[in-house]
Amino acid sequence: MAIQTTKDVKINVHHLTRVEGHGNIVVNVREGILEQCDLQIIEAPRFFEALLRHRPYEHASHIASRICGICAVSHATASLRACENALGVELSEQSVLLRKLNLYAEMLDSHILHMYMLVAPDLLGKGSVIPLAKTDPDVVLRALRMKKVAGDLCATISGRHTHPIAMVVGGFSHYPSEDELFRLGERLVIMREDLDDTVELFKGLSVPSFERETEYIALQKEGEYCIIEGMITSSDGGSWPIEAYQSVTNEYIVPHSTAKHARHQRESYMVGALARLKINYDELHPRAKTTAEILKISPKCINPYLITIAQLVETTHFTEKAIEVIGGLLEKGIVWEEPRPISKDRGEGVGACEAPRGTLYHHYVIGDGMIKEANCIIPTAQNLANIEADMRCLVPNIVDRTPDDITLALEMLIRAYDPCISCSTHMLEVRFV
Amino acid sequence: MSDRTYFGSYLGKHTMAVSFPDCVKTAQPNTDTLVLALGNPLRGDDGVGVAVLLSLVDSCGLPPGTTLRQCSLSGLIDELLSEHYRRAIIIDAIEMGVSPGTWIRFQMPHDEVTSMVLESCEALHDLNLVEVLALGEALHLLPLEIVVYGIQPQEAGWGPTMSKPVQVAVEKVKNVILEELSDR
Repeated sequence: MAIQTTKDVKINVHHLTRVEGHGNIVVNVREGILEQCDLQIIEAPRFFEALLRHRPYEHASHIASRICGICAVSHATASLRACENALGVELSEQSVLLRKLNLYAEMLDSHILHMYMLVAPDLLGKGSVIPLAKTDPDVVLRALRMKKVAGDLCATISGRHTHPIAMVVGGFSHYPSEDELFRLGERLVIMREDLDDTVELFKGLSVPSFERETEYIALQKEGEYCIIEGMITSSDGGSWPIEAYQSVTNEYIVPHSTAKHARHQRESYMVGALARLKINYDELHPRAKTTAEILKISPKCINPYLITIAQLVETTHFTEKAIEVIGGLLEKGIVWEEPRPISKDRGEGVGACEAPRGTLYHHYVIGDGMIKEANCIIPTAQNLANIEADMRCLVPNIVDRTPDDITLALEMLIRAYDPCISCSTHMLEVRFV
Repeated sequence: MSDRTYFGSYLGKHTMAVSFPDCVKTAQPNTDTLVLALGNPLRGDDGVGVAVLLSLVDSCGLPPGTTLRQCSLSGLIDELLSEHYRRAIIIDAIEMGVSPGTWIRFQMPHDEVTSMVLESCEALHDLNLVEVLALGEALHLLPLEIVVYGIQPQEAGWGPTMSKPVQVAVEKVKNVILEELSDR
């Protein structure tokens, strides 16, 4: 409930810390009335769609993965699927499993980084991970151990921890050995102990209580916790094929941001771990459901601060799925396959996957083997309007606090979304009004 | 059947030697030297570290137990803290306000970095070199010896070409590092 006050509050945070990229928080309350409440995205546009144009489709995933050093596998996956859908390529079962395994690894890598390095310092009252390492070295060592397993899994599947090179249109150009996969399976099984300790740690931490209902959107497919393609599904009802993504994202320009905003059936919507958990809860691995019960998070949750807790539930889920997929691949044995051939050299295709921060779309038009048109819709850009809507709802409820406390509450809210600002500023036309 | 048992049965079937690489848990220092180049070879003189590294690769004079790696900020923690090298030699462009191509060698002091960083750390996302050193120091994961070679750049614009004075420094720094590597 909004607090009645005639107070003036001015908050101006330049370069919000512990997020990827550069953003400012600007809040202005005059005589108790909220006049301005912006998350200003000030990073320069990066023109990736223009970089993709007039390039051979085989280069697209390698260029697109450079959009982000954290979700490079997601960008490569969406890019490859867009090319494959455009050129009529059907993947083998082994390639589908390896692509999923690579995404599981990236989800683990990114979620562990976010939970431990970016959010835990706030919840433990530390300025950053470095003072945390001084006072709680076991916590940080655990994070590094888990992150190393995830990073090594990425490197084993796709040839490199960041910016995958072995994933190509039609499949893979290189395969992990069974020895390598086996060892990683063992390490993931052992990692469960660290995961249990992580759940124990976060169970004891107090997350701010704030609730605002919004629309939640994620990919959905029957029988799995969907991370590649499927149908775009809304918590407000309705589902759409990925080719209809523009009718869901409805991007628009705002004056204070070099990243576009998005809206669907309400003024804004949320993508990411909490949206996935709400849309796909029934498909979580039983161990992940147990984690959710321990952490008291359910599909009814509407507290954006709990996105981090949803990420922890997903960390359990993706660990278990990675163990399962490795087990399945080993049982069948890794078979050397040539990438599946294209059936035409022109076409139009959309690729979609769940990146750590939410649903990611790549859309290409290909002619004579070259990318003619490209459009990439990034999760953080979809979340920005929702973050601002949360801020506008939160500020009147905490306006009686000190400016430092209000600033911290807003910083923690934005960090909970794990925004990847550099990713989001990629649009071609910027028109400040 | 538990997953642990499953992997155990797979082990029996294929008789593979399996051991979980537990280096971070046990923190046993190994005896190798890491030569780590930082910087972006697409940004002119900022790529001098990588140029020295490539020159070392071509030199054929590397003693056994030397690992050469290139990385950016996002890989620093993995490269510097995860493998427990005995010694790390870091090569990078450093702005010192001196003539381009001038280089320095210095040893990082232990037990001083954390306190320096603790006062001022407002980490954005990736940690920079000093912050990674502070993190490693706090966690007792740093190599026993850390040597830094810094080369003064002339310019770090867009493009892969280095300035003449910095190109000249590459060969000199490579030779000094080769000497240092073969001393121990």
